[in-house]
Amino acid sequence: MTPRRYPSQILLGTLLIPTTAFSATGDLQGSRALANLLALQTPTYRVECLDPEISERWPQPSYFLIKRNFSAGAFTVKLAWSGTATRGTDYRTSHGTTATFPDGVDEVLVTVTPIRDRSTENNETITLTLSDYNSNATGQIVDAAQGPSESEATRFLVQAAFGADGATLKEVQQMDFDRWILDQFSRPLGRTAPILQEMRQRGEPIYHTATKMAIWQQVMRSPSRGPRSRMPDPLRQRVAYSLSQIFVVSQKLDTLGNNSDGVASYYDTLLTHSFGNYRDLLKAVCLHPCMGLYLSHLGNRKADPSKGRFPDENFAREVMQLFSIGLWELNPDGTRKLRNGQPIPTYDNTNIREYARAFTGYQYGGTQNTQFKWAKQNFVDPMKLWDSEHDLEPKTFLSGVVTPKRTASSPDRGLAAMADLDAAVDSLYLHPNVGPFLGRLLIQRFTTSNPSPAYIRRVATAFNDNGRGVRGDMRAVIRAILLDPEARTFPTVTAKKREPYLTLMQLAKTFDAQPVSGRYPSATYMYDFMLQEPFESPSVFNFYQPAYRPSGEMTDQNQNGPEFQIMTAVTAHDHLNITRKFIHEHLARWGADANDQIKMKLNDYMAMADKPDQMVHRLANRVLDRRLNPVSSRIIRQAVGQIPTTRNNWQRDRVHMALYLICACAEFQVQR
Amino acid sequence: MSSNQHSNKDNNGLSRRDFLGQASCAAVGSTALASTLLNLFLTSSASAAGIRQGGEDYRAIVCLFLPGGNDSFNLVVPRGVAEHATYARTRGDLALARDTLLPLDANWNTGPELGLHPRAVELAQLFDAEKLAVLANVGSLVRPTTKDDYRTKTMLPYGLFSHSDQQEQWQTSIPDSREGLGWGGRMADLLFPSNGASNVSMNISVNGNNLFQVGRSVAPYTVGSNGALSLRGYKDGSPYADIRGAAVDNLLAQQYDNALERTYNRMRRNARDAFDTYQAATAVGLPTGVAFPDNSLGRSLSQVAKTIAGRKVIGAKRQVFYVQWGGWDFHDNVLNSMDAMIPVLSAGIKAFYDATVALGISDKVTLFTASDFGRSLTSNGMGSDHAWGGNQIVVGGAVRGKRVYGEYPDLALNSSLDTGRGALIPTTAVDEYAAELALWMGVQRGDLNMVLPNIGRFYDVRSNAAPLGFLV
Repeated sequence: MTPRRYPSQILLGTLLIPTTAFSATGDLQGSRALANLLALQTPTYRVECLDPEISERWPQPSYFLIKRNFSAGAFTVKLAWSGTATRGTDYRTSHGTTATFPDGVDEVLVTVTPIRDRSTENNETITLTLSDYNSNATGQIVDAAQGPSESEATRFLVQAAFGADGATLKEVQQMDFDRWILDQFSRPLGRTAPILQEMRQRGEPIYHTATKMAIWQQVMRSPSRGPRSRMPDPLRQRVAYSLSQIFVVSQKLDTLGNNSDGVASYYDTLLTHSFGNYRDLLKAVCLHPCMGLYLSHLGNRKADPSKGRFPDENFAREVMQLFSIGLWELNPDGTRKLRNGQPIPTYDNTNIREYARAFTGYQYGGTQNTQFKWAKQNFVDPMKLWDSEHDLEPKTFLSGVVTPKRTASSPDRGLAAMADLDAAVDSLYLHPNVGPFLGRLLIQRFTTSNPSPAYIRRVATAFNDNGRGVRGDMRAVIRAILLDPEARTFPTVTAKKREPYLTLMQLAKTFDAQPVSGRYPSATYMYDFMLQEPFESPSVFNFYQPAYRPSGEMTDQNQNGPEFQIMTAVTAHDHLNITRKFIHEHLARWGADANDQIKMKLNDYMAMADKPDQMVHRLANRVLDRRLNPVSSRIIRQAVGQIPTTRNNWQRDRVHMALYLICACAEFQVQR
Repeated sequence: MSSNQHSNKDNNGLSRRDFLGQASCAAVGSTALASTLLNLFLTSSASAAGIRQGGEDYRAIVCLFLPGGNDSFNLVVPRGVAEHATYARTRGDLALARDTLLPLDANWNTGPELGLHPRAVELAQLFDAEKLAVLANVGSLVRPTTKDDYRTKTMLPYGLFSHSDQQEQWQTSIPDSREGLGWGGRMADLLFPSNGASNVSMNISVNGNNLFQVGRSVAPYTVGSNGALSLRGYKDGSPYADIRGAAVDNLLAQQYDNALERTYNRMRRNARDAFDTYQAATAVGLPTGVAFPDNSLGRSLSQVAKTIAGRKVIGAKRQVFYVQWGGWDFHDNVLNSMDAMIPVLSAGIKAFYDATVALGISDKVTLFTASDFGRSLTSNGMGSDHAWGGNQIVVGGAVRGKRVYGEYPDLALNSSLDTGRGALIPTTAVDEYAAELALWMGVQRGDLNMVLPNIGRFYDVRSNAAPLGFLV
């Protein structure tokens, strides 16, 4: 809604002085008020609605702002509440029938909090009128039955996708969360490899940045364009992006650095299984040549004690520690099991050596590779297994899985090695740790750094059985994470520092920063600014660790904050510096070809730059998952208002100031 | 600690050291850790009070962390004929040829004759100049540990052989607890009052956040290898920078109701407050003629040297630096990789030592290396796997150099230290290594167990002898 503004033309030239302006003030304040008048300001009082949409279902406070154009002198104005909603029944307010400006203050924020009722109603209006000043503003209470409000849906999309672009926001508001998730499950896969093919067909070189560009291209697809078969799949993209931080491979390893085709194939593997079954995902990861290269089971051979050679233990260790069960035996709620007061390791070096023997005989795949030795590089096909280099002896895995002595297939098709792989994957997939272990890791990527044990248990339960007897159903896990009461309750109990990389994607997506070319070379080389970028992890332990605790109160209170691990005195500034550059100009480390510029569309906000208070809140409500708090709101609105309308480009500069300060405040950097 | 010492058990199955360890640990077992940390505030000035305020009393340690697990039995290698033959048999295709090793003609070494990796030329020079010492077979231990302990899984470090755990334990020196504080942080908690009211932390990292430097009161100041970085558009004269700067300050002054929001704001405030001081301190630069190799290690160590050069601007009497370089997890191609990395390491360390000489404070600065673990002695086909004990080096004017500390182990497979594939039980604990450095930095003996809660299991803090003796 647009609040009616004070009809200032009525006053122009008449210098209407409300006699009450002096009534409550002493001489000194009166003379200051007089000074205001001598500066030829007409004293005005007006009301604006900063957050026009107030939701019964998501009853966060919203604000009416009463402003005067001078600050000297305490003064009380009368408030009149009207509209179809009833104060006290449908909503509560911080102020009743009066609001008092203290001396030296030019605004009063009036808080409106909706009250949830059981009845289904039409949307109702709240109007606040300053009857003495002919000013009023109206907000709307959205009934709970209407589904998520803009603010609640935005918060959901910050958790589940890449923020709230207009079209996706509408989808969520129309469908509500669960139906939107189910709809996403049926969306076509947005693969990255075909984008690399298109680049190649256009004659563009494939640099090591190509997969990152392709990921951006998929993320930035807009639902409003094209038929359903070409609809974007933001939830799957966000899940795969998160999985890439659990099943880590990195292009910092030189051999992968120049293999964008392989990394794209790996990302597509994660995309393919994002809505599939964890067992298939784990097996596909085990067989992908990028993982084979990164954790060195590619080329792994059975032991030759005469040469002092034993199987490589790298993958065997990390597949347990990082991709499936973790180091400690867990209760279903993610807490550690204890024996004599001590945590119980899930495995020891003996187990690692059993698995290491299973991961032998792995070599590059593809039809061109017909023997283990001298295999040609192939980063796209799953690795080929060779029984001739595989340890055929019996093995004892976890979960009570034991393999028999195997016979090499003849001709060698790696069937014995594959049978061992299946047994190894089963032994991990069936381990009771996977639900709580993977559940916690995924929860931390979407909703909160410190899930309660009950939240973890609910997600683990969904992993263990999707309700139809299937274990490892990723769809059930994703729904459990995103729809859990802990993620959806108001007042919110979750908190997570935003991933710096996702903030860039979110800003680009929210403000439709599509480059003319449709290509995203300008969004690459972001690692140095924030120590994060897909496939640039410094090690298999990701950019940050799940139990990282920054020093200070979070360490004292055992609160995890993984993303703080990459916040240093340098990146704290650099992340904001690149954000500022993005807001003021466009997203790029260096200059970018005009057609490749990733530039936010902020014209709508510039058009309302003469109403800075409303403009700031409108922007904030697009990018934040909650309201700006009153103090931040005032600081930012005042800064924006200080940019004089007499300067060139003041509309642009006001919007830039507003968005930058919103991004610089803790409400943006920490999602709740 | 040596292997004879911990096999010297009395009738109760406890060595004298074990007994001492348990006695002094009773107060600081992991359950009692919280109360120890509370006590810390009461005593934090005791160690700091020992630091002279008049005149210059400066000391710094530089932790050079080599992440991934340096294959350090190929950095410090047996050179005696028989021992080298054993080494070569065990390492197979990973063995370095005896005649390529740089001889270490030690003034003091109770173990076999040793040599350095052929490309560690500068390190060999520093050794000969008595500025570098070798620490043999160091690693994380809960208490002195035998092969029987390993077999029966008695008092072993958590997550043995895993990168994340072993890195954490080198940095906390409490391998039997999940500890949120590092020993460099706990040390700084005791010593930071000596730095007065400086707004630059006592603990400075040039290569990322790390557990080592996290203290209860002391939060590390983490810059980059190119130093600190300003917030652009903040009071820098650019359009509306004053308006923006004031608003940013006001936003940062806000108190939030959530710990993550508060933490974010605090980290931003620290970055802002330290920037001007740190920038002014490091702008002084290094004396002419001081040069560092143009690579990431060189840049990082150069940044540390610049910070040390600006110590008076910062107002620091004690500093703990963290440098991290390389990825040493060579499950494959270990020989070629180390051939490429050892010269960089060697030249970088030498350049740093030379810079401290040029600054006139070489005897006030000690650099020490650390890494997740040593690697398996056996090969997995031109690569090695995660193991446990490894060799480290310390460098500086205060180092009693040209010596080998600890016991260089027998590298035969199935030795009394071999847990399998040549993953060796350490014979010196990280606690002892850290204790030597902490005492040198000025931590009082009586405070040592606040920095290193398990130290009593390895070293009698009431003794007059140094834990290892590598520092003057």
